[in-house]
Amino acid sequence: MNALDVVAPQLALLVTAGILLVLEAMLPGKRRWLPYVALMGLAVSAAWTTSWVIRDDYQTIFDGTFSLDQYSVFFYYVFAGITALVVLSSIDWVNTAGRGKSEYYALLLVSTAGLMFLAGARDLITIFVALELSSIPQYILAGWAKDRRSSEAGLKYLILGAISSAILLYGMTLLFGFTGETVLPEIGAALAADDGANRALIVVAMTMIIAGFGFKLAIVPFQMWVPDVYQGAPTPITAYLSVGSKAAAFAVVIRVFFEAFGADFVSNDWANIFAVLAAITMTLGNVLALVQTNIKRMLGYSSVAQAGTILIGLAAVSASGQEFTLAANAVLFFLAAYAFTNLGAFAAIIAITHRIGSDEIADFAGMWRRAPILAAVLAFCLVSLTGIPPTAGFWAKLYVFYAGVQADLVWLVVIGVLNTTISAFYYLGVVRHMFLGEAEEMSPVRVSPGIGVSVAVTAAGVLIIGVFPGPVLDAANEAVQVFAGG
Amino acid sequence: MDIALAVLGGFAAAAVAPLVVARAGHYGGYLLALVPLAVFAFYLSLAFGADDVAAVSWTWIDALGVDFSFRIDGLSRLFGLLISGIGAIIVVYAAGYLKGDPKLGRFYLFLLSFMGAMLGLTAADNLVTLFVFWELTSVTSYMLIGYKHEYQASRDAALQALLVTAGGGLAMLAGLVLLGIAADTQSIAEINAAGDVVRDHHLYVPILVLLLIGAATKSAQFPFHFWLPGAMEAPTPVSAYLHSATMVKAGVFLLARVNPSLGGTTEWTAALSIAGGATMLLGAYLALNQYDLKRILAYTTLSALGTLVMLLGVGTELALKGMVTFLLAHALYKGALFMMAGAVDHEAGTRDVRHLGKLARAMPITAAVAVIGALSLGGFPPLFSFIGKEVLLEATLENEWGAFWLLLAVVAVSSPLLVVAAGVIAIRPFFQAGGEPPKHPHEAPPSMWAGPGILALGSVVLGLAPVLGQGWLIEPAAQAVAGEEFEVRLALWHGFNLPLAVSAMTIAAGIVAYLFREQLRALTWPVESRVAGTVGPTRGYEGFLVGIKRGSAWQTRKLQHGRLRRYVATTALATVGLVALAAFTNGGVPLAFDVGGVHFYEWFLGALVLGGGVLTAVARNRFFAVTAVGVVGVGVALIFLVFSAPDLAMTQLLVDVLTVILFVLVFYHLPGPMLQARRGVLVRDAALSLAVGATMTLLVLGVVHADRPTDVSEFYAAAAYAEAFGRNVVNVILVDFRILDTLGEVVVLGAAALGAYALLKYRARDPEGDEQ
Amino acid sequence: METVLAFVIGGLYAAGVFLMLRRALARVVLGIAILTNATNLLIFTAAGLTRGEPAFIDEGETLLSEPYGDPLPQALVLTAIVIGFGVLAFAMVLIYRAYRSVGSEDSDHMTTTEFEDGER
Repeated sequence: MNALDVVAPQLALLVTAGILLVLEAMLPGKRRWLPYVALMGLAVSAAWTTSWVIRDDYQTIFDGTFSLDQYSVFFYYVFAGITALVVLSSIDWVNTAGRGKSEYYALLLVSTAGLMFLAGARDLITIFVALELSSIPQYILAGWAKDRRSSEAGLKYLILGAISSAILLYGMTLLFGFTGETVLPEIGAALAADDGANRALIVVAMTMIIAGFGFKLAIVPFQMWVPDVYQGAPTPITAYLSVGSKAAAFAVVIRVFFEAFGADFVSNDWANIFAVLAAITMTLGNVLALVQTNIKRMLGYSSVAQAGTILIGLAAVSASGQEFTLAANAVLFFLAAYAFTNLGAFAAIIAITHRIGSDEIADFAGMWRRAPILAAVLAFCLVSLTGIPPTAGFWAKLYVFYAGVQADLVWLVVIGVLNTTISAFYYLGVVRHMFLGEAEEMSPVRVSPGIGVSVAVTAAGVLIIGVFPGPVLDAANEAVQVFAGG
Repeated sequence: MDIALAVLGGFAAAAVAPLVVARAGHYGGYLLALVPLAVFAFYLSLAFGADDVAAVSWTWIDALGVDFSFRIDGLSRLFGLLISGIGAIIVVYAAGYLKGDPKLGRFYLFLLSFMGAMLGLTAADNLVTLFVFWELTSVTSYMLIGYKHEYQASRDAALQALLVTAGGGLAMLAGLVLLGIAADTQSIAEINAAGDVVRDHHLYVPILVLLLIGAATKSAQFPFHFWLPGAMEAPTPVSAYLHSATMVKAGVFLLARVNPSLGGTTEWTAALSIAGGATMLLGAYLALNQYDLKRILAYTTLSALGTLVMLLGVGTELALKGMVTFLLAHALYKGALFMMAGAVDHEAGTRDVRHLGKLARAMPITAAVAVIGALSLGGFPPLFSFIGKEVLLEATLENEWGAFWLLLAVVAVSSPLLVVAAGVIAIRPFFQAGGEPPKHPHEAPPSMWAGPGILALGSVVLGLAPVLGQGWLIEPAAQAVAGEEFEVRLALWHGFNLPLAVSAMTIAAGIVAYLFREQLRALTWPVESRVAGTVGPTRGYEGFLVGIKRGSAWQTRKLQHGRLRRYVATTALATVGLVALAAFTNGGVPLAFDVGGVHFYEWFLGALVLGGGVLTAVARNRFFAVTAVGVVGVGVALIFLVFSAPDLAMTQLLVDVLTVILFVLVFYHLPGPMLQARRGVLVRDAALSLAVGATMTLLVLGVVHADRPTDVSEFYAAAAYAEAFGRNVVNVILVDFRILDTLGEVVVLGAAALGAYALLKYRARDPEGDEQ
Repeated sequence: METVLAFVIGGLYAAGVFLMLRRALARVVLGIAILTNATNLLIFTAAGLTRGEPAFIDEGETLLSEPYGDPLPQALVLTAIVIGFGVLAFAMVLIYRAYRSVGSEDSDHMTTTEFEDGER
């Protein structure tokens, strides 16, 4: 059946999730195979995605509510890659936690399927369902650890998430109530036909949709959950949240803005709103990150700041009208580069904290001697997060800044650069601790194979994209061309 | 291709350096020195080759016009020769200086990477390529400066240097991006060939400011000069390399590179002359009260960098000529002096001049190097730097800019101070009696005096016969900086003229000042120590860091307090605020208001739901609140029923019952009465809630007012039976047309159930999680 | 009737937000329940109301006869009800668990991540 074929990448994950649950129930002695089963599911999903790329037969199904196009395929790969790395990084943690292995991996896969649905969703209801499908497993996993912090993290994430869902749903309802449509391009057509009498209502609806997604994007003032949840959640899940759900939210927002609101509809208003949000988000995230003593919390604020940087790209998309592809390309490239970089940092942090039992930055002192490779990879990823060459992060920032300048947002780019400078203080502060600090204990940190693979793959990715950004840029470019026709 | 090989060869050598050192120990250093030597030879071959310019280019990022491209002209050649030539000397020197150091391999790794980065930086033609290498020099120099990381001071100095230079570099990136856009190309050669395009562009001032920040941080110009003396904590070979020919000259290089397209304007002249002049004066003065050889050299380096920037600012043909000459002269003598200081430190165990004396007997070669270097520093004839100073004075005197007397005054005050520094470096430790060094001094090994000796010799030879360097080295470089053709003729003897008179006077004044240096110090030190303790850029840098940390800590307390309800309040408030803003700035929302035709039982249903909501909100007892929530659910179900949605009503009723049961089950486990808030809090929260409610009401009235087409539903109404053979259209929609959403929904429920099950199951199993 | 429901929806939102601003977690979850109901009612209302004409296609016909209650928003509301219930049910499990591990149902005591001792 054709529809099943189209959503097979997602179905593969859902079926694998089911298999995991059954496997644990039937073969309780074979639990250590579970992560590899999950990886196989991801591989099948990626392979199926590749088969669509080869078939080159992109299409929309279910009456236009779901689209398989170059854009969604780009994100399929990103999400499959993210989850595979998270699964690899989780093995140690889950083994130590010692419980609920199958559920953990199953929920992770379900959430990933949700992210993939989000990337292709072209309909308000589908978007909402996909968002919840990806979110609910995240709420559960955030509270998965035994300690009290994790419970608190899960609870805060859930409650604030519920509120943001309500806001999002409200915005969607307004849009639907006004246009009578739920499919994005048809909403776009209805809006284009409007004579301007209902402009305020449309803008309000968009505002609420942004506010609703703002929670997932972690932009100010909807970022408050980030540090608490990042610190409280199990570290592999923090890594997943920091790149997966954020990338998906940006993916949806871009699609909604292109397909429903149209690149030339109220574009300058949006440019200004995004620009102001970008400036505030970057500045607040960076300034707050400066004082953190806990590395997970610091990366939480850093992810807020990075979201602000991506918003520069969105502002540029809005401001540049028909010339948007450069800016949209920048956003996609940024998301992919950021995913690699942040996952690399987290993989190294997982390995280190797992061994030293602390995620305080001070305890990373002298890590260069205890775990030279981990320290080097973490330092390299932090350099990439700062945006210093030759790393993926450098091109990502350069591209976004370039898009900003092209869209005449020079002031915003200058703020972005100033923020990058601030961020150097805390990113490189960690590097200083690791390389120049003195360790209290000198025992070497051993790395398990799972984390080892994860660290190696991400570090190589950051470096290769840093030196040869071409292929990823081309893929991103092809993905955003989907919107160029409309 | 061979260009790229030469430029990037340093990185390849760096990669194998640890292996070489692991095998061959410090002898590996001699082997590794062959790489910079080969590069040096390559640059020489370029200088005497047929083409004036060598270029190579690959496309890096098409969409942004970024190429990976090199273009070696006269300026790049001068820098390339200095970087590779002094690099080879430093590699050999370090083999002696760091002999037996277990980290020598790593040291060479960073040193050669740094060399590669510097070569790339000076050869880059594309703006982004230039930036990539620029930041690479920051990062690798960070590793070099922090090399001796047992010392806290070394670590702090390294971080300070990195933060200042990398931060400035990022500002420069913004400047480069703007420059590329203003000139519509990223090739530096094309930008420089484009004439006044950039100078006339409306972004000129931002570009200039951003590039200046980058250059000033890198080349330690006032007010960013404070990191440079701190970086003296680095091992001496590093200081010698970074501060004579390479790292700190990068900022000067950048300014020289963009001079043809950005230079010559009033803004340029004023900014560079002032920053350069101030740095020149400040550096020369700050050297006065220092006793550590390396710190004295660091401050005089500062002064020299100021001189170079000032000359670029003046920008006349003569000034640029002087700039290039002085640059070469300074690289030669400063490299020699730093290595001399390292040799003294290595052999005598201290660099403090107060503890050194009569070293000339034990270390004759080092002493000779010190004397030649110091004479160069003081600008004495017949050394090459004397010629540099003559041109500098000449350029200052012929300058038409209104403030040239100011510049002359700066030169007139700085030069004698540099003579004092020269005396302190050469006379005090080597020839005067007194001082008890911790070690009994010997002459340094050949590896440590050969290199400085060559550099010192260079100073003498070029001083006596400047013609040896002018045609192939200085002239092309000066032309590249100026962007136009002219001849360079250097001579030791210019005849009796004003520059010579000024030069003689400053030297005489310097000798007098040296004799009275103790009095000068006694006069200035109390003020200086006072000022440095209260104001000054170092304090500013520290205050900036402290301020940021305090501000952030305050923010954390106020914004990120971890309290859920305040997060909720912020979210609600922000949403209402944004919505109100969006509505008002777009002309407001037209509202529908029509209560005609409402049946009385509908009023009742509305009141029931509303009442249930309000009761839930005010209930003090959990179970009463649950009952009220149940009433809300039932009321909503009844509304669904009345308005043609029986399926919804059934589902809603079912879910409502389940919800109430769940609530009762969970609440049964919770403790006593619920917390009650103070009245003030209640009023505040009530006000916020009512604002949210009012916004929502207005929006619903607005959306009801807007006419809307219904063709989607018509489609489903028409297609339900025709395509899906279902009579209940809602069901058809759910299970047929929107099967994907329904599938998602089912999985969502499944996931929630799985999560709840897992949490409860494992909670029951591991009670140790229930502490507290 | 839409006008009346507009005020009902506004009132429910106010009550829901008010509950979510409370420290007692039980009230917060009650607030979620109220918000869910309010949103469902909103979706239903925003599409326009029709009295007593369910969207059933009569026996022997293949087309829906006018007037009829708009079926699409109903499908949307059904989705929202089901998902809302899932979230709510899980929220209840979470507060139960949070209460067991924190020993209080006061959300102000759940600031461990921010303040090390969990006080304040």
